[in-house]
Amino acid sequence: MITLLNIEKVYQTKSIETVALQNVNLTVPKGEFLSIMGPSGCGKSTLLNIMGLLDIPSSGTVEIDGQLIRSYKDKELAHIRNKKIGFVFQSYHLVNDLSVLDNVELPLLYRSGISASERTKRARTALEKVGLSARTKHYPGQLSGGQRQRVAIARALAGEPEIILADEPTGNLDSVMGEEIMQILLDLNRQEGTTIVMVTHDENMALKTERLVRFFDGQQVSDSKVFDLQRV
Amino acid sequence: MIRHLFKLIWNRKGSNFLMIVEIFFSFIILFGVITLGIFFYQNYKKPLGFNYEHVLVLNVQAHDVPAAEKREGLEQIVNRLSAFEEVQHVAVGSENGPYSYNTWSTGLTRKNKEIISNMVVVQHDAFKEVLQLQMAEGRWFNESDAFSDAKPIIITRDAKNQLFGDEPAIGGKVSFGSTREKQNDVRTVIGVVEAYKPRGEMGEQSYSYFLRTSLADTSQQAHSTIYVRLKEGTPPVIEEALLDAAEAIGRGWTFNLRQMTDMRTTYLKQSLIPSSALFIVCVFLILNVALGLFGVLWQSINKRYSEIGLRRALGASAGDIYRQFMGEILVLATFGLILGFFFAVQLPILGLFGFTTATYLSAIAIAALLIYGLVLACALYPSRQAAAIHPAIALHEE
Amino acid sequence: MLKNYLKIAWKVLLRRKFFTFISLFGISFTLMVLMVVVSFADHLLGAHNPEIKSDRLLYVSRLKMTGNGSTLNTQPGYYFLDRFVKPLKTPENITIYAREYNFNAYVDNRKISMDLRFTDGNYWNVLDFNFLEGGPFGKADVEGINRVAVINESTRNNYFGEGTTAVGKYIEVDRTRYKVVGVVENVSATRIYTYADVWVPYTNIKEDLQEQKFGGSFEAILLARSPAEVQAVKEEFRNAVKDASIPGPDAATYTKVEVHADTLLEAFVRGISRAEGEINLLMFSMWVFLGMVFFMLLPTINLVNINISRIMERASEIGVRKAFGASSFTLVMQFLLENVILTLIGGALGLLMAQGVLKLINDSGVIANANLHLNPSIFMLSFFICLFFGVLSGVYPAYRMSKLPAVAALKGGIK
Repeated sequence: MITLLNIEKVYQTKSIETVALQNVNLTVPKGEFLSIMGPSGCGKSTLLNIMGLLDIPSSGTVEIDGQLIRSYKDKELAHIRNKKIGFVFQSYHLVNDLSVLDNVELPLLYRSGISASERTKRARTALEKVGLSARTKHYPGQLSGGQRQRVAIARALAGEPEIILADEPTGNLDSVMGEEIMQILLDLNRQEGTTIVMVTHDENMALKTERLVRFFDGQQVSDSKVFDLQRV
Repeated sequence: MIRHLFKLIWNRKGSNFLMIVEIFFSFIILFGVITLGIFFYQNYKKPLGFNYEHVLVLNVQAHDVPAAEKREGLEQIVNRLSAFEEVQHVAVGSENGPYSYNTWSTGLTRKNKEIISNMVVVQHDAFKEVLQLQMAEGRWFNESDAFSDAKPIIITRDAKNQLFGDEPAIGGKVSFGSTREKQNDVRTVIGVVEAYKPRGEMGEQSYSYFLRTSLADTSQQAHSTIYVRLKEGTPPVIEEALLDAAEAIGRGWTFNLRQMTDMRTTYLKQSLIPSSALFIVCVFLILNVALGLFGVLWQSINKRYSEIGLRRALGASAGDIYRQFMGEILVLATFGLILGFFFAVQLPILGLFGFTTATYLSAIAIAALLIYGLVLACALYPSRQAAAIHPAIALHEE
Repeated sequence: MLKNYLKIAWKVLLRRKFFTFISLFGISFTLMVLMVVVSFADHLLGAHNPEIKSDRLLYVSRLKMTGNGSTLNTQPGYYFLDRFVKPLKTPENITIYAREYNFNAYVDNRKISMDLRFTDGNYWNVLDFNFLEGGPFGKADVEGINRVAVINESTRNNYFGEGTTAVGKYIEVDRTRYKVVGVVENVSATRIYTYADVWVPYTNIKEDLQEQKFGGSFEAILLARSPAEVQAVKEEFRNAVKDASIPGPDAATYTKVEVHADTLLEAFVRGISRAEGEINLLMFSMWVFLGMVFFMLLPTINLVNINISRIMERASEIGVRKAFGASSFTLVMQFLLENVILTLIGGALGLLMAQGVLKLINDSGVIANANLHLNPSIFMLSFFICLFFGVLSGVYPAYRMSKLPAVAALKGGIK
């Protein structure tokens, strides 16, 4: 569960003050698949960063899994990110010089007390879930876009997070591959009960999720259950 | 994590190759310089064994003079110089005195041990006082030794340690030449001198032995260098008076008088200047590499912006990033050092250049530590920059 | 077009000041060291006064006798040179002189150290000294055992005082008074065959010149009629000494004598390599070349490394250029030009630094009468080394650059 209360984010430069988010109140219950839509620059990525503890709000509070984030100490935030949150990005962000398996192991490297064999085991399991167990020794450069995104998802899964934050995960993919990725995320949500927050530009993708929040100019403009939308 | 870093560097070996090569060459250069440095330092640490201050060296050349006349003349000059109030001691000795550039080396053997040793012939007992040699054991020569059947010899402590080890040296027998030859000139050790390094402070030669002959002994060569110790505070003008006195006896002979302190200055200059030039050039080369590494590392952060952001998102703290970058350069250095070690270790294995294995090994260790220190220093600022990168920005940079 | 390139190159260098600084630091120091070494070599072996005709000069300065397991390395004696060098027909002129001896002179309670050289009259014809006052002594002075001397400028200043004249005055060296007949410009101590402070007729030497032995303390310089005849002179000398039999007491120990007429460079190489037989200058040049390459290796790799970094940083710029139709060739040429400009600037800095270092060496008095300086030929050589350095360190990075695919380059680079 993620709870955002009165979140405001202001970017301050010498002369200009840019408001990226204003008065955002949003609760994502455990096990929900939420999608966020809005035009470019509406603040949705900033919101995702704040949820993922990659960015600090100017004011307001963030609660992850019932735990109020009081201190924004780098080390503690890093620990929470590592334990509870998995990230999937539009441009995959794979490390090109590491094999698929090594890429997937990455989050486990920043967790203490996991042996090398345990890391490999978990990474393999995660790759199995996305159907890539045959490609462990490949390098990102040898994979297609869809395969790369699946590796990225496996990497997010390897840490067994409660929450997955996906920033336009299908944005760089054609529709067939996009569907594939979407299906993996949906399965994950349904079968494992993972909370997923997905930023997307694609209305079709958004409609597959449970709830859709729209943003405009840093403010939340609508919040509806997809079920309702489809009825209307 | 270490394994992860090795994997990362290994997979990037293509683009890291040049850096590894640079580190390799830097290591080789440092290794060479440090080997020399250790060698010089070890020499420097050994005591000099004599006092060069207030010593004059008078070279006498008497060309077409009958041998007997030359012997007589030398003896007279020694007596005449000793009579000067400012002069403390005078002795005739072989030409290969300290800082003289003359060397006279022979083999010295005892049982199956052999050393190459510097040979010094003294013709007056005062030689010890002129150079202020210190006795470690036994005694210095006296007048009777010149014709003694016991054929006395005095060796330095280093020579004694090498030949006798822990056994007592006084009364022991040594002979000239190598172990392979038949030994007929057997000598009896009567004393051990604390130290004597005729090649000066940086010189390596610490094996020397002293023989005593008499100017009157026509079966032995008459040497032509007169060593003079002056009282402290004697002005240099005395040199002219000494030369006049010598000239008055050896008419038509050629005299050359030098202060040992001057000889020392020239000698040290000649040996230190090339070493210093070499040292400066090496420091430059290393500094050059350090600046280059710094630049390349700094640059590489820009290239790895998104990777840094990603790692932060996956749970790496700023400290983790900092340590990763420092760790990477250490691993990189290790690759270069492994390569360098492979080459450097050939020297002691093949016994090249004649330095001791211990010298080589400590040089390898020091050079490796210096390289690690150097690369860490180069990586410090770039790594800090990397750690300071804001993940949210790094991830959205396309 | 070229002007445009130059402008871009200049801007690029200014844009990345830190990288430009690192590059310049490495280039300038490397070239400085090279220039100092070259000018030192020139000082040691180049054609300078008094050895201005060095392409016609041959030196007989070492004599080696071997036999019965013993080796004696010495200078030739007067007897040897008189018998085997003086009668040679091919040389235009021959001089025989003794090595320098060091003496102290005492003037007003000051000690002056002087190097004295005993020479014949031909010495002044074979070699080209610059006389500041008076002139040389001649054959008659030598044969008459006259007490006359030629001194150098610094001895004049030390002995007689700054700004005075010396000709006609007397100088006392080795207990003997010599009348000064000429004053010459200083000769650096690196010119080991001609350097001295005082030159006097060799007949004044306190040594038995008629003693029958090959070794001694003399040397000879042979002047060939033309550079082309140098080989002929060598040949004649080789034949002359081929069957030389060792006289006197040395005959008991030594059976073979080896002596060569070498050019200045050959004599130098023989001195440092202790080589026997004729000197192989090709081998020597190869070693020098290898040494230079080894020294330049690290700075070059460093420069290549920095250059690659610089290129990768500009990957997107390169991508745009490619996308707009620039060929790989133009890009490579542009980059090479940029690098050559950088090395030339570095070379200019290195030249200034080298001037400073040479002045430092000259003033330090480490080498007596040293007069190290850069001359146009050293300058030209440095210029070519710069170009070579610039092209060498630019080629590989430029190759890497040309291989950058436009699309990847646009996206910010290849990892």
